[in-house]
Amino acid sequence: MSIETMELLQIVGKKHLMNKVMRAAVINGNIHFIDAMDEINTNRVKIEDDSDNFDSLIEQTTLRRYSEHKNYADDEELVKSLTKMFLIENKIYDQYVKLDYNYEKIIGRLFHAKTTVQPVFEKAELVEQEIALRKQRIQNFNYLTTLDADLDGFLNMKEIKVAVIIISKENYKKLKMNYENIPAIVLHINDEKDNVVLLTATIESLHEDYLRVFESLNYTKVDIPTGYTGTASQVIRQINGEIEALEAELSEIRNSIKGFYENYNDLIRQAVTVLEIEKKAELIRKTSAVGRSLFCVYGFIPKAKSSEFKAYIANSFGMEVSVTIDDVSDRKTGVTPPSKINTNRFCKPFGFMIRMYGTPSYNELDPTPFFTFSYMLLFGAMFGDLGQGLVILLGGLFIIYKMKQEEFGGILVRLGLSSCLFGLIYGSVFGDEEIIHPLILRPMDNIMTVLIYAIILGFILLSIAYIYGMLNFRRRKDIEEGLLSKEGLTGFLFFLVFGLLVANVAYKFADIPVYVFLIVLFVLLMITVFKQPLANMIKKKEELYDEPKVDYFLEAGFGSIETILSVLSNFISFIRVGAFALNHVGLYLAFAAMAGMFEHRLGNVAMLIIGNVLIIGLEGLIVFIQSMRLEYYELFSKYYTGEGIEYEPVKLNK
Amino acid sequence: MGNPRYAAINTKLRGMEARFLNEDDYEKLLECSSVEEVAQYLKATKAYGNLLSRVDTSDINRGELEHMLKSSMIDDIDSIINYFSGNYKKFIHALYAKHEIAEMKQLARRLFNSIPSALIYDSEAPSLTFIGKYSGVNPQKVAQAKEISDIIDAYEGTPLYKYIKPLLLSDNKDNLFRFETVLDLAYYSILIKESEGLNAEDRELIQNAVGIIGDLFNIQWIYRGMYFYHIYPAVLFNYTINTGYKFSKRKIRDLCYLPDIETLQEQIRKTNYSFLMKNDDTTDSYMERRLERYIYYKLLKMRREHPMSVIQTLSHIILLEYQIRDIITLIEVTKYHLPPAEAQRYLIKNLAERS
Repeated sequence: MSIETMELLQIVGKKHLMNKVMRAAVINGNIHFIDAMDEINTNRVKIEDDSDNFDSLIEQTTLRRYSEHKNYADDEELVKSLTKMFLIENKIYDQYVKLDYNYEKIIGRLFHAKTTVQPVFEKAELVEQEIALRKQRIQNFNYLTTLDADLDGFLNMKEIKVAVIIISKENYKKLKMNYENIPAIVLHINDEKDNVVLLTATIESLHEDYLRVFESLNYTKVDIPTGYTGTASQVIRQINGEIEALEAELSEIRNSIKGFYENYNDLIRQAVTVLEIEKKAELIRKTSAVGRSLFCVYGFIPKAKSSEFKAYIANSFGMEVSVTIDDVSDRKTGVTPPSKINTNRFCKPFGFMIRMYGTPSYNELDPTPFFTFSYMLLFGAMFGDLGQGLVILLGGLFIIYKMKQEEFGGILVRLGLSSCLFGLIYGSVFGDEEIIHPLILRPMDNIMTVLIYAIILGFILLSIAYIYGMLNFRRRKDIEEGLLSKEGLTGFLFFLVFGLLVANVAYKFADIPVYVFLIVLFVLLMITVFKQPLANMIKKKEELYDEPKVDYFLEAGFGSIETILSVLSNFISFIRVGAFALNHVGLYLAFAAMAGMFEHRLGNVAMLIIGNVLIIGLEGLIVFIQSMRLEYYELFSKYYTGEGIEYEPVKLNK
Repeated sequence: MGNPRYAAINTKLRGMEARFLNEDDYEKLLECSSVEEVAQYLKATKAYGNLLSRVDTSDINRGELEHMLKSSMIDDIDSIINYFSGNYKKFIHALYAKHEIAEMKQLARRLFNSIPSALIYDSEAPSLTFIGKYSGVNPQKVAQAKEISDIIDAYEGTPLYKYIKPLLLSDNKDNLFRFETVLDLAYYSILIKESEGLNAEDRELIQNAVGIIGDLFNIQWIYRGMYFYHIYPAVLFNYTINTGYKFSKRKIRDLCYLPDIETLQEQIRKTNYSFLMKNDDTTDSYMERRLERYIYYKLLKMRREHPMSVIQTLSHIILLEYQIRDIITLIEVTKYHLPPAEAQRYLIKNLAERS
């Protein structure tokens, strides 16, 4: 449960090995690369090489940013077209994740494969079309099966044009009423749903009138190809024969495709895999710097993985590639290391809410555990109900398993759990307070107590936030801020003394006069005002101020006012936790009263259900937001900056 | 499926109709001399005050206003549909087909004349307010059509497709005339088919009302087809509406085969619809308005006679449509600066009888 320690990785090697080293980095998948030229320029890194073979000095002057960008679009298209033809899944095949392969050769062979295979696929498609066409023809000839006559004879007459047409039954009625005026002989030969199939015969000279009339009947002409002889049933038999022949041809083609599949399936799988590796390797190449005979890249690698990678490179490339690993704790300039956050499963969903605010900085304590603990506490305290909590929990499970939203669902499950727990503490089930006994207290019966507990809870949470903040200052080695600033030790003491003052005024547990507290508070406040000169005195610097005095004190003066205000508002803010706990009960009471107005039991129950749905939806949302506000505003301002860079290693997506 | 609760529906309809424009409104609108003035006036009425409350009436064009008026009609009909269920709901929904078809035709005409379609409401562009309202088609897809066959393609899978699909297979895919007439006929087929799910009384009422409308439009079609376009009688007959009230199919067929326009006029004068054939030169130009006024009064009469029936809803929707069409006419006549007395003759609403 922390932000993982990173190390700076420098890889320098001979140019001809560059691609292979990139592959190794991709396959390793743990390295977050940064721009090499930037790193060299900002941190004045010297290219060091273990071997004595090169003249490092000359190398250093010739280093340039890598500029031969390669475009993989064509290769991608090629691979895609083949996976589509052979229905091969586009994913990483582990057996081909290797360093040694000849990419150009694989693509070349693939191209060759495509040119061999494509015509066969096209041929298959063509045959399929032919079959479909003939099936359509059979359907058309089927209309003619009611005619027991040789089609060849009357379909190919010179003077008389015979046609098969389809019109709607509605229009057929009109046609029948008007037979005597139609420029054609019409024979009703078949039915098809709402339509009729007609055989029409007209003479050439009437053809124009024929078209006019039948267009006005909204006709469709049935395609009857010539070249077949015999009755309709005989023709259909002929066509079926043709289809059989075509299908035999098709299955032969399919067989040869199967043969191709045997031949090429390994190659295609390999191509899919290596293309992905090359594309990722290109991402790394883009960050690299290249000299006359050397290349170098920089990246961050988790400390736990670095020695393994170094050994792997040494094993694979020997002396020709060198890997240097540096500690980053003293790093002052250049890109900050990325933050890789390791959280346990319980806290993980809340990472989503933290990232909404910002990625944790590298040298910051991971805020997730405290956030998880405090958020659940706040939500539960404000929305404590065994029944409603259970509903939220079930809703969360539904979102995880049905909607596949693991993070949001996970948050709801945990919040529901916390709500259930507080429901037991308050003795509340779906708003009803008579079903179970409270483990500790009922909010409505102890209004003052609840509000005071809320402030105490706030006091504890804020104290933890201050401590977190101070630990962060220590990690950053920022002693001045950590001890003297209003977020540091001085601020924390101010906060504590202020808390003691309030408690003492309220409960009189010690006989210390108020002015003593006020003096202490004033002294602490002054320390924050004179923070910079004090720090510089301790460090024995000549200059006491880093900026003009007037500016400094103006800023510090206002800062001190803010200190007082924020401590006050922090305390008051947490009263809302108690207020919402009360509010929750109050809202239910309102619905219970309304339910009581119904005489019928059914109305009563319906009202309570509506009330509960509203409370879960509306109040649940408000409490969710209020807890978030307390987290982001009251607590994060004490300890969390969220200015980190997300850890994005170059790796294969499996 | 039980009968609709007409008591509740009628109350709702009367409530909505109380906000219809009255004669005074029409008189005032006739005095307006620009689109902006019409919009300004409408903004002050109960009928369209809400609709136009957020619009800057000093900067509104015809297309925009038309689109807004039509959308208000959709809101109106949508709120009525909620009072119905089952087959009744389907029937009321089918009434949208008329407006959707009208817009499809407008769009097709524009494409046929090679004017690019657009959803932007320039003053000439067809507003595509109703597209998809009946058929459920995606209006965006229809608006992208480049030719008539694209419109047909866009309608694949909708109830209108089977009527227009045969055009795709014909030699002339962009036959505007056929596209328009096929769709017009489709509307009446759909209406009659949907009316079959209603209870016996309502079914009969609808078939009578639609029958009268069919008769009127058939007469208009035959008259125009014969007089202006000299259409082949068989084609004339094939494009007549299938449903009639006074006219049987046979009667319609015989009308189509009459030798000349004079005989046709003579024949019509012998029927209930003699008002369509005046002995002066107003027959042609006012035929459409006359038949619409006839429908208007026929519907008012039917709704008096059958207070507890679907006719209340049908007539409400048609009366609302006429009101909006009149407003659109009023906007159009502002272009020509006609004196009110003349302009009112183009309205479906009859103001003359008052004075």
